[in-house]
Amino acid sequence: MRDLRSELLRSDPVAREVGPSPADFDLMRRRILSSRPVVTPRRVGPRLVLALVLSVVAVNGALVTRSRLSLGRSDPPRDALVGDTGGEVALRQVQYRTPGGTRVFWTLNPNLEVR
Amino acid sequence: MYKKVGASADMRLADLFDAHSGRLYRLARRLAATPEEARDLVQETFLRVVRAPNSVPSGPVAEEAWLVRILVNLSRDQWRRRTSRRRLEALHQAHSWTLASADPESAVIAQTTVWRALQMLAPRRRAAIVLHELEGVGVAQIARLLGVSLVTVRWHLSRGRRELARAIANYEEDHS
Repeated sequence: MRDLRSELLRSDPVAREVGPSPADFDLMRRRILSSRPVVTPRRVGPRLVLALVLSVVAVNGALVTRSRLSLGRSDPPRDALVGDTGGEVALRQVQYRTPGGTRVFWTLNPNLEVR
Repeated sequence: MYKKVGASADMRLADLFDAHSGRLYRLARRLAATPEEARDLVQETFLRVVRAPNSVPSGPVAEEAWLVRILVNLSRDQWRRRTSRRRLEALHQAHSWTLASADPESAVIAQTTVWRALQMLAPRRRAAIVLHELEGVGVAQIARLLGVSLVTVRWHLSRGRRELARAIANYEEDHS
């Protein structure tokens, strides 16, 4: 039996075939180079603005909701509001504390207008 | 700045292709069944570079090893997908060859037998045999190229030679 290397060399397709021409390689090269994704700078401006707007809206919404809840909690019973005041205008006071600890007092007339 | 980065990446890719495509094609052709399959393997290897340009190490030796490993892995993926179909075809063809008498085409058939037997080897084993026997690459360099240990390369070479020798001996027995 002939040795393995000579058998393999005898049947080596690289030795028997012509192989791709320089033009074939060039075509493959161009195909590969053109498949490279184009790197473009990422546009962060509009995204940043949108994120800022959304966060401002969210913070505002949260603050308004919180204020309303606080207002509702500090409402005294209705009877107390419209009690006999001897002809004087019945006032009511709303007190609440902000998350930072500041105490806020609102004095309201019967039409719920701040005085 | 982006243009500069893109241009340098293009240049690197072009340099890699120019430096290694010929050698990779030869290896791919010896691993693949057809020239078309070999071209696909080379192209897909470079497309991997396109997808992950930063993973290619710098320096010609390290680049080559990286590209060869990718090519062998791609060949292994292909082989796994087609393994059952190919084995059936090869069995069928081996049977036909044993029935063929010694005619003027027997030399061509013998060549095909060797090559078919090589195609039957698992891709890493085939790569080790091709690199060592056809390209004359040393065991240590094959280990580096394939990313395996010296012992593994020696084992693949030993098993591969035995399997090929068996296939060739079978053919010669049938045609003596």
